[in-house]
Amino acid sequence: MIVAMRARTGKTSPQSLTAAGDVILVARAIDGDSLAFETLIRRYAPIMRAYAARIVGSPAEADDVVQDSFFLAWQRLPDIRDGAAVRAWLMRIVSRQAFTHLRRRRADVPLPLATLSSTDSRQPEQVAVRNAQFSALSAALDRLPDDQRQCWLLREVAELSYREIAEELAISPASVRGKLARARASVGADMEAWR
Amino acid sequence: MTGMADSVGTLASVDADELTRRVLRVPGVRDVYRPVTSLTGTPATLARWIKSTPAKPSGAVELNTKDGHVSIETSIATDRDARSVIVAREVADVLRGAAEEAGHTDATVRVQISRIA
Amino acid sequence: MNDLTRTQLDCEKSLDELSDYLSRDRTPYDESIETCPECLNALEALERLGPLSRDLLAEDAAALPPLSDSWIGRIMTNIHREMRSGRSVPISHSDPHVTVTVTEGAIRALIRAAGDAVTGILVGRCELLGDLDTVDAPITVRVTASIAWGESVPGLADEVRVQVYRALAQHTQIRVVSVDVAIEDVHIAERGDAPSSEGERP
Repeated sequence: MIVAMRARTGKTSPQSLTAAGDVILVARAIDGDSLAFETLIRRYAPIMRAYAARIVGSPAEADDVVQDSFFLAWQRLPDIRDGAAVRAWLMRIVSRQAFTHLRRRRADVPLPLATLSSTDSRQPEQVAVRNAQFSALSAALDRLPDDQRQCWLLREVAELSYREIAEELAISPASVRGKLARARASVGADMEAWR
Repeated sequence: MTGMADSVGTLASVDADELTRRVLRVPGVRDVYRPVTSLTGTPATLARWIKSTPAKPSGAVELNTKDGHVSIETSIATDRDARSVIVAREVADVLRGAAEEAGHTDATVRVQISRIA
Repeated sequence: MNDLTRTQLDCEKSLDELSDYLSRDRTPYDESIETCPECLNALEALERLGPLSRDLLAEDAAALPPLSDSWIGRIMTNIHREMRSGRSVPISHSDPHVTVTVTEGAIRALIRAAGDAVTGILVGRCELLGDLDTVDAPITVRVTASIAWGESVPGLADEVRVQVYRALAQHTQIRVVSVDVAIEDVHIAERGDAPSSEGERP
């Protein structure tokens, strides 16, 4: 009956929202716009999945962790201080969720670390070098103690400041610096060994 | 929809499902939801999928009888091209009319627009 | 922790020391490090580990199977159960037995849709300021938005104002005294979502 006038212009679609910056998407999502939140999910889920997989080891478990993280993010969204920093904010959530998951699982049975990526089939030689570098780094990261790996990922991948990491882990900024320095030295030494 | 006992969820001649159908027939109404204070209900059309209940609007209009007093409550989505104020008032009139039809002249009616789509 | 990290370079500095130096943003300036080619090489290698880690994760992300719609759907279903609908805004009715309201959430969505319908505009935040619980109380609407690159700010802001007024008049009884539009961000228009005026792209 009233369906006739549906052809209005400029109806918001997920496509039109992909052009929007984080600040706009976060503002809308806080106001209850689930489409805006879905756009944020599509934007940041890939890196969050990779991040979680680095910690929990299995892509399937990482997907569960990321799903929980987004659900939590939706609930906590009104607390976000700066919409422009939503990426770091999400990474913080996924980091926390992943380590919680890991601790819970270790209480049960240890799971062998899955081999991620390195299934690249592009330019053979260049990729080979790069892949070797990546797998060396990958192995080095896996060898880090949890606390160092957590700090390292928060700093280098989530790109949090020392202060933010300190706040996140409830330790002092000096201790964050110490852990990062040790992590870097260990990874560096491992990488050196690979060379 | 007649012949059912006059209890919660049923007026003398209509039940919640029938009221839901009547509301859906009001021009400008796109969907009817179960009324939820502070939360948005599940759309009647969606609820069917989720709960896989029989394919009918599962009483998105809520009927309550307390101490002989009837209250009717629902939440609707209106059409962007309609005038929501008028649509919502008409929905309220339809529900009031149904209550009066059943002899409940002092029934109270609450209609909430929870979506304009 | 790691024996290798205590390994000394030929210049007798250890990776631990160098990493520590990096963590302090290379302050205070250490001449013995900054003038030693071996240390400088090692510093460079250590500094590359950060960007390399980001690349590794990007690579990991690319290698994962694509997101399935059902995976996203499950998040969205949970979210819809937690919808924030806000205050209930009254709509008058002549019958005292009747209460008619519209949720603040519905009104916000309406405002967003009205603003988004203006080509080149994506609405961000919208706020309804005033006593929403009372019919006919003066309300100020405050909207933030992003504008497509190359569009005229005053022109589109005016258009948003007009559309928001119109939508609210059509669907609510709110007495809108002003619609303030703040353009807060710029975006690149989507293909097929070409801005109405000239000179769209950077």
